[in-house]
Amino acid sequence: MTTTELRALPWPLWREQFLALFRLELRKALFGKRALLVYGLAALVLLPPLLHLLLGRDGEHGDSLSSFTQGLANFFEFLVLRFAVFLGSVWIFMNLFRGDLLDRTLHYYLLAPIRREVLVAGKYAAGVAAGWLVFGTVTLLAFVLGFLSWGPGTLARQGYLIPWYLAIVLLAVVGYGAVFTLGGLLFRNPLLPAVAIWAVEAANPFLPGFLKQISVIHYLNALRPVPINEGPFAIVADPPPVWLAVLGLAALAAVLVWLAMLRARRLEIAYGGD
Amino acid sequence: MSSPHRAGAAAPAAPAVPVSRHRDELVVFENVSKFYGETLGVNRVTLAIPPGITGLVGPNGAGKSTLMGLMTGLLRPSAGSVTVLGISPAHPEQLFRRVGFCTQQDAFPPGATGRSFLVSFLSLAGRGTAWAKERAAEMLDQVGLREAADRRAAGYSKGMRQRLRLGLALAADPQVLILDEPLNGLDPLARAEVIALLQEQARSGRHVILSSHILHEVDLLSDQVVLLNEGYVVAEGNIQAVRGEMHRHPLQVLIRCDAPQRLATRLMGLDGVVEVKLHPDKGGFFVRTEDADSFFYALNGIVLESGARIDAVAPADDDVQSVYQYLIQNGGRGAA
Repeated sequence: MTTTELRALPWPLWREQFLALFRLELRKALFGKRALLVYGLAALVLLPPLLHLLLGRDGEHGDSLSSFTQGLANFFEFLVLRFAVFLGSVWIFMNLFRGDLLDRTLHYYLLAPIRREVLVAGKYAAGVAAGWLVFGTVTLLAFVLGFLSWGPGTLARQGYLIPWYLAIVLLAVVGYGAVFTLGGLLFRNPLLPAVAIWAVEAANPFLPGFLKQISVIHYLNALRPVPINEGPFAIVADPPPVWLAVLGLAALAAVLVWLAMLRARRLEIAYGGD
Repeated sequence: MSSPHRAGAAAPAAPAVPVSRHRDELVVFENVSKFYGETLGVNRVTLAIPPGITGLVGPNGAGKSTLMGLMTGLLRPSAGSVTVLGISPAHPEQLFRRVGFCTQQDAFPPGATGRSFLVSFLSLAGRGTAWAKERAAEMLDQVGLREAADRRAAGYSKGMRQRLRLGLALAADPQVLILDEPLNGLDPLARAEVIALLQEQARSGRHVILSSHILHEVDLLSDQVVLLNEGYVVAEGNIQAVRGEMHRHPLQVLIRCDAPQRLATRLMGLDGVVEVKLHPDKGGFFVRTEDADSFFYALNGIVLESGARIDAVAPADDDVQSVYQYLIQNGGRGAA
């Protein structure tokens, strides 16, 4: 397609439709009945730092600040990223189309004068926004509460770590979101592919270097401000540079969303008989 | 539907597009088949539907909803092609600026009110929220839901939900309005209102394509019918003309006269007459004949000879129901 042809496309219309869809889907993702599970995951994430704040008192920590920060990094890696963000992304993005199909309301979208590609883009973007809003907020709160338990001064000193973790959450939602948007369009039962992807992600530390590259977590590792210990059996591999990780994940997400758009163009729905 | 004909595997294919009309004015199916895995949805359907009210008639599983799904891109044909006013259903961004589809799916997004439902989905047209709100208010007025606009749609009666969906389908002022079982569940008043609305749409030169298994409704409403059974088009065209095509189908005629017994006895001896029975009110009788042309020719002579006074001669079963029953019971699938 030439530049002239690209310019001739109805971008203002698509932008308007994208924004309308984005607003509609964001409302649904944040306030719909399916948001309850996401909030449940978020509440689980907040529980340990809240307990730490309430039960542990300044000056009574048996460990140093550096080991506490290491503990927070592990907490983020395993409870926030690999558990809550992963499961939350499965739920949010697999339900972008499947949820409407189960509610028997998907046809209203497909009967609107909107390109299926715009439909996928709007739903995906709303999913990313909802996922980041919820899990970014709990990440922020968890770190703030954690550092606050060491006093406001500690929060001021260690606060520089928080934007890195927020960026990791955003990239995770972008990456997993693209994977599960496509998965939701390809599979009638998304549970099995979700478990398979979870297994690949969980096995990442033990995979040889070249296989690590097929997982989302490998690219997210590049942004970790505090390295984590993945155990004695982990195969250590240097994470990619930050720029490559960000661009690589964005490119991967773009390809997956494009595949989801192609799939959506062929999407059929038949709820019942004649 | 250029000419009434019985379609299907054994019948000669109708011309896909009548020469008198441009493809851009028609809903055209060209040799369309749809299979759900091994299950047949519709098979080798060739139709060209002109403006006016067209009824798709058939029992459950006949293929009515499949045809509607194919017209609107909710389904993709396994073979053949479909165009609506020259637009492929694979291009919803063009199609649904000219087509509205009122499905029979009775679900609404959880928590949606009548107004928020319309505003949400109208805003996807990309004409701005202000337009969507204004249009939603107009449509709520038009379908008689203004008072209930801010109540949850899930709490509406079946008729109200039907009218709400109809409002969404009509909102784009479509040239082609497709309705799956549109009168289902409506009370008599709402039914009359919807029928009037559909007739108004058709009078303004639009396509109104509706499905029903309540044959009487379709017969009253439709300018033309497409009879479906088990995925095949059994017959299509103007209902009287379809009937006329069926030479082998015994025609039942009601004759109102002053001497029914005498005249019935005379007519019983005619070739092709297979049954004669008196009307319950004794003011006439029914004749069933296999050769309508010869019967009417002979009837004139017999009436003149007998001196009976004829008040009325009318087909007694020239409706969709009788045509449909005949076609289905006689092998369906377009067996000629």
